[in-house]
Amino acid sequence: MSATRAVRLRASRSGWVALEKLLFHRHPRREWGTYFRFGYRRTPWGLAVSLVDLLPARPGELARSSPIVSFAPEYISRALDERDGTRLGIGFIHSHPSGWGVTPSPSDDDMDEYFARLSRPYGAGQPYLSLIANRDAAGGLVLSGRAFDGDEWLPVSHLHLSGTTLERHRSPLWLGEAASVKHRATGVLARWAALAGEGAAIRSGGATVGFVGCSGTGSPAIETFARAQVENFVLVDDQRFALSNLERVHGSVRRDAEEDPLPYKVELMARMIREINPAARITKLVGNGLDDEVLDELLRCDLVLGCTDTLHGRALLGDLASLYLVPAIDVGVRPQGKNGQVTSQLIEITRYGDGDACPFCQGRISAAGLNAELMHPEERERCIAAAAAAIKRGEDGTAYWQGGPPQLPAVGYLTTTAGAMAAGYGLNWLLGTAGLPHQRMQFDLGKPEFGFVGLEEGRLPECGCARWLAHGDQGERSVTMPAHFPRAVRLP
Amino acid sequence: MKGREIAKLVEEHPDQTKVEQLTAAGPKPVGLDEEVPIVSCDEFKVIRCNINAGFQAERLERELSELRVRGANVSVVGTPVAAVIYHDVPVRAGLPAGSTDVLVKVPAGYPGGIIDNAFLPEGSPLLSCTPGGEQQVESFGGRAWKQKSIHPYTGNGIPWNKDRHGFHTYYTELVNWLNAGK
Repeated sequence: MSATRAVRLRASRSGWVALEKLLFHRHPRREWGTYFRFGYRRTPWGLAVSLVDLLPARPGELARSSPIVSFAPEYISRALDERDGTRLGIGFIHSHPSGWGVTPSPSDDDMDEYFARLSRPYGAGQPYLSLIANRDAAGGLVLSGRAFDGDEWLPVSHLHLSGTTLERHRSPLWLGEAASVKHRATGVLARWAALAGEGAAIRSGGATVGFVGCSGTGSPAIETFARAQVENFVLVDDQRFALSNLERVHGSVRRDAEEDPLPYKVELMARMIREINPAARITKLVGNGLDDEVLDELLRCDLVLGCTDTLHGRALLGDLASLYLVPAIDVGVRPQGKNGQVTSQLIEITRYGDGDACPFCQGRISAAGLNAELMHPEERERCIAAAAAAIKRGEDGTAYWQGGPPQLPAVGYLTTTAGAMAAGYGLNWLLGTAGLPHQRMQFDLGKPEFGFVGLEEGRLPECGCARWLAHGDQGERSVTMPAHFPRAVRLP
Repeated sequence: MKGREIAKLVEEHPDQTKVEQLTAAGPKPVGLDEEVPIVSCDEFKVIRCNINAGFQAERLERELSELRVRGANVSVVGTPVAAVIYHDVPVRAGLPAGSTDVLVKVPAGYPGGIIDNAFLPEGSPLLSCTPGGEQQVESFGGRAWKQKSIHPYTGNGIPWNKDRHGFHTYYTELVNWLNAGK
């Protein structure tokens, strides 16, 4: 069993409820099980796995007369056929009788050894995943598992369930790092404990939160999570600090703008986090969220906050939530001014979780705008020149170029308000203490009653987010890393 | 030398590499901070750990498979940027060629980027009698191609929809374009 790499399994809460109902329908004394299909991505830290659907036994395929799980060859044969016909992985999950834990029995070892051996001649090299579920004395879920991939067994470390709350179940058999700041955090989190109870407050300890964008809205959100004693951070931003950022980037100071070279924003965020919580573990990535190395790290996260003002950043959040079941919150601002007056102080906060519409379903991604962001600079210059020439000829220039992304005059009070609010919603989602009132909210600080609009939108069946739900790398992303974008660099 | 120094000889970002010493007994991993005595003719392998794909090959392959099932002849060239060549696309009777190869670049960030324009072989008689302005010449797969300005999914065309459009639907746009030639 690998000592350094592991499996993180994700499922929607609604899907997991259906699975548990099937698994435990003979509990507490008898076992049951089912094959399932899963999407996956191979990463340097292990496998990111997402549950697609179940392949339940048909009558006679599992022996009802047996108290344990006894396969008829037909069920195994059907699973192998399924494996041959899909790029998805096929796994098996079964329950143990109450009181018997989740440690594999000798017959479980035999089953897994056999299924792992069968996985070589069938399929296209997909991993095989085996899970064991049980309930503890209080009725709570306990889960362990292992995956066979490329001649190596990997232990399952965590199960993440995304629903109205974000649940993280740690396998009792996994020997990796545990949350370590509990005892230190309880003093710092006294107000959280008073507000929501100590049990809820300390849930932040073992969490990993990703931030795509570490500037105006990202920095106050990061500060809020650091103060809430979240232990693990994945920070992503491709920019260096500039003097104009001093107005809105939390954790930055004047002398940062005098350094040569200027520091990366992720470095400033790491410094701020360490000053608040020296025990925090921080991954710093200078690069774009679309980069494969960045994606690998975001797939370790309990929650990702999207704090960029790009369309491809927004599309990435949708892909994270739909393909990989990583929940995300997107936050953006749209300030506007005219004739010396501030005319718009708009804030938008959007949740991407179980069943939520993706940004394409919501109509939030302009195809032309996204295309302009992704275009090679030389191609962009060609398009702009062609548009100018068309206009000169008296023709429509929009076929060639419809304008690039606008530079928004984001100012500190607005980005701080937006970032802190998004962090609050994220923290409550993570701790299980409150949900977002709407999937998508827009409000304007300068309008009566904030001009509030709340929207609930489901996935469009024809959208890729529904078609490729939980498919991981076996699905299709809505946007990919352009070859001319600089590749991400991990800072020490 | 340290592993990092060896990697630095060939890679700009040595921290993003894996170094192996090639020995008679097989490859031996070298840590980035590990000191290795260098003897003449020692061989090392430096592998980048962070390779990024420019587009999803699976999606492109799915779209091209749909075309192949319908009898179309299509191929992919990988350099200098990825592009699809539609071979022997039929042309309207009366034009100076009965069919032609057409090359279309895979846009950056595909399917986030929009498929646009088309290239005809340089010197093709169809260049002057098909709609759209003639633009730059580029080389793909050892052949020179000239870009024609056609925009089925931008401007006044059908708005690009990543879930509906792709290289499989672009074929129809190309046939329509070639049939509009005068």
